[in-house]
Amino acid sequence: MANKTKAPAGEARQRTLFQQAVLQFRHNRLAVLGLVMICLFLLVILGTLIVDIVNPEFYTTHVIGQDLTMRLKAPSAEHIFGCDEYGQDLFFRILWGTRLSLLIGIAAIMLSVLIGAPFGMIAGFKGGRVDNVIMRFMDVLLSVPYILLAMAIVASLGRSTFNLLLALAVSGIAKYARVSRAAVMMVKDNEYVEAARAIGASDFEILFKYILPNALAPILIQVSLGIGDSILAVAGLSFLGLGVQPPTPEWGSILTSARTYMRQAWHVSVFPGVALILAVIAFNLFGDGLRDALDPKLKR
Amino acid sequence: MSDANAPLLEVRRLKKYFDTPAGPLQAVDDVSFSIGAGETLGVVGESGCGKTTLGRTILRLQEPTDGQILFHGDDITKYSKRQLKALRSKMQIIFQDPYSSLNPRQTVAQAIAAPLVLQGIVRKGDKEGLEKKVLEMMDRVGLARRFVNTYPHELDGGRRQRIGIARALALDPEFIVCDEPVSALDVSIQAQILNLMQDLQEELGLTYLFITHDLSVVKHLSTRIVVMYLGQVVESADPEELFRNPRHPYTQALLSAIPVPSPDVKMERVKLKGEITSPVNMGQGCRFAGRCAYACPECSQAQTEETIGEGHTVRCCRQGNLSQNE
Amino acid sequence: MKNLLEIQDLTVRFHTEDGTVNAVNHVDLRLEDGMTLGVVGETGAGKTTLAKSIMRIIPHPPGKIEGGKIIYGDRDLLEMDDTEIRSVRGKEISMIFQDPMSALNPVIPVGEQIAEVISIHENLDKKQAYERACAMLEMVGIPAFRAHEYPHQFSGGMKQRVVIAIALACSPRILIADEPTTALDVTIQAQVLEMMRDLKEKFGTSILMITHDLGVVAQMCQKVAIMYAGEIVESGTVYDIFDRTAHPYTEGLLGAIPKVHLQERRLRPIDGLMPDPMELPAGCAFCERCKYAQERCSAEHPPMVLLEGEHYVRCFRAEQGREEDKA
Repeated sequence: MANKTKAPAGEARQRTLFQQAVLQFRHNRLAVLGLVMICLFLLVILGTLIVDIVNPEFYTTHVIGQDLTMRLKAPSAEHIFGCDEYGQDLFFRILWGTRLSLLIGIAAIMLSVLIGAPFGMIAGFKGGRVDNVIMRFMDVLLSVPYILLAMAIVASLGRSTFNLLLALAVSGIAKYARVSRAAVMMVKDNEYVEAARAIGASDFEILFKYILPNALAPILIQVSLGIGDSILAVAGLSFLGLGVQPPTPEWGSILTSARTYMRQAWHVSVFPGVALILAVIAFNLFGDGLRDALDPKLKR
Repeated sequence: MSDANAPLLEVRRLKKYFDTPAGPLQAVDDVSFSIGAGETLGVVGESGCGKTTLGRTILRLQEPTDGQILFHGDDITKYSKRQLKALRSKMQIIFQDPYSSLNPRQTVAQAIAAPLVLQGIVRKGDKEGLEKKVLEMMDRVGLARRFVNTYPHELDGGRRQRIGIARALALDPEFIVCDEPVSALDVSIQAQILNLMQDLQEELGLTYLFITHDLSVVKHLSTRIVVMYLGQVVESADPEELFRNPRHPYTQALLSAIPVPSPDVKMERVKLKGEITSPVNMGQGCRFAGRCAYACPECSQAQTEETIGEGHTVRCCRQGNLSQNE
Repeated sequence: MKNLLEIQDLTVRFHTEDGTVNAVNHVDLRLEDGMTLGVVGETGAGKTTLAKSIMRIIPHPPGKIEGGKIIYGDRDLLEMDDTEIRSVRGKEISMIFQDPMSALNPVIPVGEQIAEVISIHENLDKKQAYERACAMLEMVGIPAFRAHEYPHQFSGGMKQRVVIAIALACSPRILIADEPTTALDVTIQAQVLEMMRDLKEKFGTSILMITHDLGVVAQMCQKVAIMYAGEIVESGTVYDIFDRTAHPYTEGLLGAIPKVHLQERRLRPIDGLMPDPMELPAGCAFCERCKYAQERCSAEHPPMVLLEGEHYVRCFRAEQGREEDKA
């Protein structure tokens, strides 16, 4: 009886770290809202994919099909978001545009992390000269504005969706290298890392068993917060004409053409704009929630 | 190479310097001592005196700048990576902070099992053998078996420190560096852990290097105490001698500064000027002279450790003959 | 002796997701004028919460003062509105915290930080306030020319001196010191404690000293209260507590600390742990760890019993002892 105090005090306390994070997250209503919105967007992507597979005709007739008689038509029962300057149905274009707008953004981040994080982690873990060489290279990458870098890449490789993805991924490498390096350096000084060394663990084991699991949280948080930016960047580059080429639907490129007709047809710019804003907000809310749930400093 | 008559651990003129923009920081400077098997050497000093660096350097968690560390008479400063890994099962460490010394993502069982798997004592696939050994270790350090799958953050400081001890003992070491193992714990828990460590020492014949800032903690635990100040050993003696007859002015000040837990004992404090600095670019003179009430011109000369009684050494040009010169 | 501060039946709870933390339970405490009262307890005993309740700086939510009174002079601090309590904080009652590193603003020179407190509470112009600040620095043993330096240029002990200078700048009647020397080295601790003793004499400040260190208590305090699981289990003069120990927990604490002035081979720890403040037992909070525990202890909550003079203890044994004396 003498030892009955802390741990068995109610089953509620016997949670794994993951369960705790989930619980924390669920208490944050805005974060849950963000997650729900993200799920909706993903459902839209899934839905359009299914339609494409089941009925490939739909895409050619309704999404990229032009009907000049419907040019800049205001929203109506037939076209609930109205039509653009080629008479394409805006509602379907926005739904189909979700795929590229979100997935390029997400894929670009993943690529940046996959390349940047290992470099950052090695730099943070090894320190000294290795750190210097890697991080100075990252500084060079960081010193070029991402739009400029992307423009240069697209200009030299040609305009295509893949090149857009590549451009964004390259411009994000330095950021995630820095984040990972900082996360590793923070974890590295903990005594349990030294304890691992004291029981004879090699650098490799220390990095993957002791440092990585503990450094993952801040990296994840940065990633989820970065997706919003990345989606904006995709739209931005497409807006500048560097990314997705018409008639392929993408929010940024829809906005480009909408710019000219802002006065005659408000709906052409408002609906894709709102979609973009909602997507960015969704990921930012989610990221904020994730940070609150994973940040150990906010835990009791 | 091993010499049967050699002490378990002998440190000879050990130095550990760190480069700083202001010059070398002499964290450990010319420290020598030896510990016999089954003994406890208490290393006492205030923050910044180099005691933690000393412990880490002896285990080669940090590379020594100069000097020798003889373990069973064998100089481990020249050990290769492979030899070092084997040595890890002979020399272990218990850390100060039971909050940061355990991987938050490892359960109690995983933390204790890690050294066993790493050193190949239990085969990787042998789940039963591993569990048996883990539970045995938990029993040994008095950690109830029901905690086997809990995470450190669910446990209190005393229990966490028991995990730290179990992890260190899992490899059946001969020598353990204890780096302030109880200073983060509450007094009632502190006594539990200290007694546990004493029991384990008797049971397993362990040898301790016990690092602490608290003289009262090492008093009844040590067979010998060294007092460190700014990277150097200023005095060493067995505990009774040190407490009865402290000869270095710093030891005296340190002893007199401990608040006695009895209102009937009134403290007479040896006053110290100023505060401890950091040992960057120290000259050869006495490092304590600036704060010493007995400072004299000879203090600017190099100080050597002189034996002034049986097993009692002091690094002070007055060799403990203190009389204030006004 | 006049009571400067009287805490009556104070109860503070924290309402968290996992349950209600009973941090402070029905605490009665008196701080007499010119005295140093030591509140001793281990981590989680509720001593810091007690101190913060007096200053009314319990974070709310999740913390809430659920009952009791804190009488200062003829007013209840818990009844005061925000403006009134602000005029008390720092002026009448000030508090110093454990960690001097985080208690100072790193971007403002220390002199200005002291002067700021002075100008909030006293009707002085900027120059006068700064002069007072320099005088305060001298008082705590820091030369006045260092007033323009920033906190990072001071060592830990020096920073704690600055914190104390800020706390004492408006000559408060009461200083609440929450583990003021725990983060410091022993030799520095001794310097700071000695300085606090001197300043107490000089200003006539009463001190509420919160600590886990019985040595500090024995050397600094006249009155002592021992806290366990959110309640006071024993209180009295420093001699009552150390020489006529009545509560098994106090006895356990004294047995558990290593003593420099005595010869001992082995410490006598208290087995077990403090009960979870979310699930306090119905009976005595200490009974699971107590070597004298009887059946009654786990069923009934022991009341506070007056032994003699001002020596109170919350234990059935003491009650029995008194009845036996009478019989």
